[in-house]
Amino acid sequence: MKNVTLVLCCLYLIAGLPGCISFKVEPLPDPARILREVTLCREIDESQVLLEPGEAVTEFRSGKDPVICFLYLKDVAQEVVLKWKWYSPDKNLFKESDEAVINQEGIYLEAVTAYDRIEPEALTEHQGQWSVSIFLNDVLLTRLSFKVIPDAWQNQRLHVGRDIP
Amino acid sequence: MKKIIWALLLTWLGATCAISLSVSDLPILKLRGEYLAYSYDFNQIFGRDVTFEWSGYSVSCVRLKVDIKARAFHALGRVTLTRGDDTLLGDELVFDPEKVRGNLIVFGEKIEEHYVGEPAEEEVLLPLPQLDELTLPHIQRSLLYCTCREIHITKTYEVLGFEVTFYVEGLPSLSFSRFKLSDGLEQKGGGFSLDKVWYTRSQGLIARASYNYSEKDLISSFTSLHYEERSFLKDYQGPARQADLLHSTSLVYNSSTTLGFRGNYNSSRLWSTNLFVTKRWSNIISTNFDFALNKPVNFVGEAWFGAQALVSGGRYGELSVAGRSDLQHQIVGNLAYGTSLVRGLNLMFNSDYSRVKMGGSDDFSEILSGALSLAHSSRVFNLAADYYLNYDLMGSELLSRPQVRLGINPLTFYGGLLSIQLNNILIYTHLKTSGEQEQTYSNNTILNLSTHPLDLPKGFSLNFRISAEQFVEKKQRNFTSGGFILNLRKKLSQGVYLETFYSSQSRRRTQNWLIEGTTSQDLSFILRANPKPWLNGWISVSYDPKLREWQQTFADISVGLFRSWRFHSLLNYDFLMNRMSNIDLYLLRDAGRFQIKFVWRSLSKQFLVELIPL
Repeated sequence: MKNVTLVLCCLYLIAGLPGCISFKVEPLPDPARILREVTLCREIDESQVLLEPGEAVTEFRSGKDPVICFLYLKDVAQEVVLKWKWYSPDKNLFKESDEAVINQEGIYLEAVTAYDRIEPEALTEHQGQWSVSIFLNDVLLTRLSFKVIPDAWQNQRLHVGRDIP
Repeated sequence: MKKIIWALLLTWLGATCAISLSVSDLPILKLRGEYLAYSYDFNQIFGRDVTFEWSGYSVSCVRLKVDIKARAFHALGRVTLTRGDDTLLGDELVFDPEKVRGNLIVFGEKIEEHYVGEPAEEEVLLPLPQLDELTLPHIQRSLLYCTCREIHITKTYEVLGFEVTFYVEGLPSLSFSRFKLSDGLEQKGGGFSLDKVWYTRSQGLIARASYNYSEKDLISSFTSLHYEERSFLKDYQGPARQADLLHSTSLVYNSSTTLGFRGNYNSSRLWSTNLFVTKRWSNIISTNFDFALNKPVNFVGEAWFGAQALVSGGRYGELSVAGRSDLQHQIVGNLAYGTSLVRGLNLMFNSDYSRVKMGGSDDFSEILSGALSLAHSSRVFNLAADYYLNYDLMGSELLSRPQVRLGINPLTFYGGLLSIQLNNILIYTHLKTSGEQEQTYSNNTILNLSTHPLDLPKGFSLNFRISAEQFVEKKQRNFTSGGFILNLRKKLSQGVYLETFYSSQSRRRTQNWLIEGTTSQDLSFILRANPKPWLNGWISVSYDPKLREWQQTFADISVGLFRSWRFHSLLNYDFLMNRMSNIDLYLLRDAGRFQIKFVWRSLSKQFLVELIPL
């Protein structure tokens, strides 16, 4: 009876699964030059060989926090050109970074880190929903959204509660 | 053993049926790409160099991101839409494959958005922020994901993959020529589904299957069977097996009339059926009539006729009248009315009458109850006056209880530095029982005063909260209590904080000439550390200044290991007993739809493996 149970269990696992097992399918190779990480943060640790982003955030305080868009590329084997385009809440282009040319020699690089930033002072007049588009060799790589909010302390003083001295 | 074999066979047959039915669904999107990856954990797809047909266009893009659960579809990078000689170019396409509408975005001097699809609609699809995090490494961090070159997404959002290779924890595993990657259960339009097959050592084998049939504007039917087999469990005291059958069908007779049937059967010989007809006479009035047969366990069956009328009077309020009666002369009724008199002032009335049998006897209970509430809310305060009445007509017992509640919303002073809140509730109760009368009242007042964290020099911050409560009642069990909590916090380094809590509470009870009271104090130190995303923990030590002795210490540490595996430990040391009270160790794997947990508990000396659906 144990053998019958074992056979039935095997049948259940194999035939019961919705499909037929195939041994002819070759695993697909990973696409080269993949984006490993893209992060919005307030600070960057530049003390290491590779840059390290600070805590990932999506809200930045106007006039206080710089907005940093950090990028980590893996397995770069040819020249790549990176560009960041920053769009303010009115959907107009606020800043376009210079083209960052990486690996002009075309050698294999296991990892590449890069970032672009907007200084806090530049955000004071543009609170609301922002977006940053990152282009790799003129092709959109990814796009991130973030919010610029009033500084918390200012917010409380101005909007919360009724001032009764 | 035979039962296990039968259960396995049944589930296998069910699964096969489900698959054969489900794969017949026509795809609404056929994705082909150089590389497509589907994550079972997150129910998401990432693609490279992808092409697909959509809205009459042939679409190609460098990257594709799909979140099946959120119904979000984004094509990114050199997006090209071709239809005959017509070619559209963009950087990003946000589209809906079901409603055939999309938003083609170009990132130039400004963000230019172009509506694509037919018919033209004003509503613009916006990119969903949650797809920002969808990258290939994100997919590859899944416990279970697969890669292939072709994926079909059906109308019910089932995901079918072709020439699929599965990866478990990043390691290549089995390959399939065709595989249903996601069951799309909740969106399924019709057919048989095997919803769940589960085995645990404590509950036995559990299986749930359902059959769903619907035709738009005509019929909707749902049947489900839940089965539990426990006969092979050791030391199990309950029934060896249990089955629940649930059925519901509604039939649309015309645009205003619906007929329906609901039935429920349990293998413990509990069953119920309900036949109903709903008629909407106008936008204001609708009615519902029903006939129900119930068979409770160990009681005589009941046959009930019911009627309900709902009147939606707009600004005049909503009125509901309902009544039910059964062949054994049992009656229940309900009258409810609610309206908003003026802005911020709401009136609610609810009354119930019931004449039902008590247990299995022929005796009846007859109860009339009612509640009336008048409530006002504003930015500054909330005020409500309630009246509750419960009249036992057989036992001649009358309970009436009016109450008044007043709450002052948190008021802030000095730019949010100080916040004050006050709540008061006054209750009067009158109970009349066979000639005897009893009257009681009580009043409870609570005052809270707290400060916003105050930033002090050298990285310190201070928070203070004080509260007082006064309880007064007719029986003289009055008490007054008060206390405060002081919280001092110091940032030691990035993500590392030391916190100190000092609290003191005092409670004084007065009854006639007797005053008794207690005071308590507590001093706690907590070290919190979250210096890196993968490291999170705290350790606390508590001390009783009044008794001058250390109490106990707790520690909670969570460390990220690799991929999404985490080690988590909970420790508790008792200084009074001078021993380690408890150690819990966890090894966790978050896999999106479920969590795998290996647990060791020192108290029970148990090692557990848990698979918890999320």
